[in-house]
Amino acid sequence: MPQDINFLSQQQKIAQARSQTDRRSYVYIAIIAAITAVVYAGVWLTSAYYQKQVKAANQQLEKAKADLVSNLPDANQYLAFVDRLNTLTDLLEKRDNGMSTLDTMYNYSLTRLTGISKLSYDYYTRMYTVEFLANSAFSFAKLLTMLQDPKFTKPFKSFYITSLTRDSDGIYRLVTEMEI
Amino acid sequence: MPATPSDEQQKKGPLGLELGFDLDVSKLPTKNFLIVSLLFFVGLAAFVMMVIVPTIRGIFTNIDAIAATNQELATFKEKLANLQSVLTNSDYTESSKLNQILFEDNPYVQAHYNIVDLLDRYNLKRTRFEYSPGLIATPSADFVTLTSESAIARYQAAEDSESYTIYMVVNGTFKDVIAFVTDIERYAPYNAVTYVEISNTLLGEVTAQLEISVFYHQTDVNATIETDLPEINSGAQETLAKLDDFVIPDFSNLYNSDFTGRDDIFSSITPQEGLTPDDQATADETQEVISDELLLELYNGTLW
Repeated sequence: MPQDINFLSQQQKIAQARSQTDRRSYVYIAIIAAITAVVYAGVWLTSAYYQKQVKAANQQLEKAKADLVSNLPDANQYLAFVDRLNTLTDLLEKRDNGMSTLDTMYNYSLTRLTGISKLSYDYYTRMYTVEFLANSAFSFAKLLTMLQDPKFTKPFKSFYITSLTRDSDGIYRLVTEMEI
Repeated sequence: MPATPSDEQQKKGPLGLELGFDLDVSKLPTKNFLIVSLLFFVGLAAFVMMVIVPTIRGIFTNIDAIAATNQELATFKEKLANLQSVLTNSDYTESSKLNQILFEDNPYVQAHYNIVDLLDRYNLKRTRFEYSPGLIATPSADFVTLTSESAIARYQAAEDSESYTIYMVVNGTFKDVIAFVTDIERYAPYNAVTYVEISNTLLGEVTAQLEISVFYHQTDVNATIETDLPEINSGAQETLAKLDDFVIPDFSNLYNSDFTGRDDIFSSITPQEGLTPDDQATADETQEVISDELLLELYNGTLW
């Protein structure tokens, strides 16, 4: 009988000790729960802060978009200006100096003894066809000298003599083709 | 020292199994605690995985979104600043002059006025005048010997830009013809002498077959917020510098009788009293039809 009493007492002590262990462990669990709650609160607050930032950034973006959209008519005008300017640049490059070369050629080649009897210029092929006249061998020599003058040949990329004829009346006809 | 019975007991587990180490049963948690703690940790793990981790992911997503938005915002602000900058740029102030040189609509009346004015100035006699709205199937084929290379180039040019072609045969001195063809290109609206064929009659006069193309450009642009503003390149800068070389006649009174030497036959028309709105509409319509005919006449050059 005393042995039973001793056993029960032993069991009670063990139960009390285990209960104490449980309480201590609950405290640990509570601490873990509290830490988790704090961490979550921190995470939530950070998330809320960044969400606010995203909202603010989006509002700024929308405002900037609205500003830009309100300026689109001006942008259109500028684009049209550049488009027109580029078109004119292309056209000017194509036109280049076709007519000024014609003027130079006319003024340079016209002398008392030489002249141009026929002249054509094609803007699209940039080719000149010119028929020069010289009324004597002497003036023809002067004409040839002139044609080889760098001042005269400068604007041309190529220079070809197509034909040379001499009439019965002594007039030399020199047909040339020049590309500018 | 021999082992006590309690020590023996401690080496065995609750089921009497040999554990191989000392087990203090009094330090073991209870079954209830084990169940509660198991549920707690499972719940904690679920909370971390399903709430905290997604929230943290959301934070990083937001950070990325802020960075992307700020970048886009910076781009928009830069575009706006660029636009303000180019609109106040001295180059852009030339746009009105540019529009006066390269017209948006077909400037046939203005071009016609310049040509007639210059022909008169250089005492050149017109013996033939033709107009063509385009470059395809040109009437100039009647009198201009074109190479196949030229024909191809013409066809391509017709695709690249809008133009209006005037063909003419004029008589005058060689010098005046040269002066005319070099001068006409300086005048706005923008034009190019696209074909010249001068034949010397050896009588002090030449006959010149001329083809003048008057160019215009209809812009078709539509800016969006994504559109980048183009820069004005060096070639275009050179063009801007050349704008001052053009002669820009004042065409503001082009349709006035003082300018054209013709009376506006409609200026004296006044609405009749007692007309019903329908009658007035019919009268207006008639006037419009006649106006178109007048324009056609202007176009054909018969009024000049």
